[in-house]
Amino acid sequence: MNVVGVSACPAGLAHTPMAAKALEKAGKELDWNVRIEQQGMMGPVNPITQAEADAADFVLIASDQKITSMERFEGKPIIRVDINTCIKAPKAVLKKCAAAVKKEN
Amino acid sequence: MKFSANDVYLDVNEQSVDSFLKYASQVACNAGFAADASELEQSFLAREQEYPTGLEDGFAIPHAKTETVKRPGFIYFRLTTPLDWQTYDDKPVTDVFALMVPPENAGDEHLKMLASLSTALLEDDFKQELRQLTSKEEIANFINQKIGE
Repeated sequence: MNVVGVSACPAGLAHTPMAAKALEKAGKELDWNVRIEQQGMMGPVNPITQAEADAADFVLIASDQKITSMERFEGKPIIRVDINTCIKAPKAVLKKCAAAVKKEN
Repeated sequence: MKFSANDVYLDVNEQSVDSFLKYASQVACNAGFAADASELEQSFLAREQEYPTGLEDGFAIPHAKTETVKRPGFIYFRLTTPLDWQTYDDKPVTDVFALMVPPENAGDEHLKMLASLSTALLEDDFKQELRQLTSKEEIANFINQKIGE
């Protein structure tokens, strides 16, 4: 699976990088390619390029915040998940999202 | 950017999350992190109300983002009375990192340090090793070594 996404939390301080790292680590364990951009206080960290967005099977938004540059992901399945769930159970989140996307297609 | 042994508080004894946050705000002001303890406390409380910052394995990371913060950074508190904090695994909290930043111009160096600390808390090894350390100096050295990487 090829997954891109964005994490963002209210303060943009701690949960944003935590969710990104947790999801990327879970991706490695599943042997998937997972890249998460962090939209926090530092501005975009590890930004997702258009080419990466185009190659993704789905887009995971780990946030209930407003996300910038969503136009990159046009035409892709986009799934929003609570950021705390992504930190707590990143592998389950990835698997569930993938299953949901497969069902749609 | 160094985390100082002076910002480690051991044997902290508070009976509730609210009283702890009040205490932590006072400590932070005395240590020069912020100008106004009650404003700092309100900021911590507002963040907890939005969503509690309890993590897993007895750790919590309350944060304040307010103009009253003069020195961005964090304080580590080790508690003698476990607190009933809402956490991912429903375990009570015994170790708290209180993070503090101003809303603007916190400085990338500070923000990176706080990001490294937060992501370090995803690692079981980090939490276990930290708990085994008993002196403020050892704790500060360990944290600097881990989050400076």
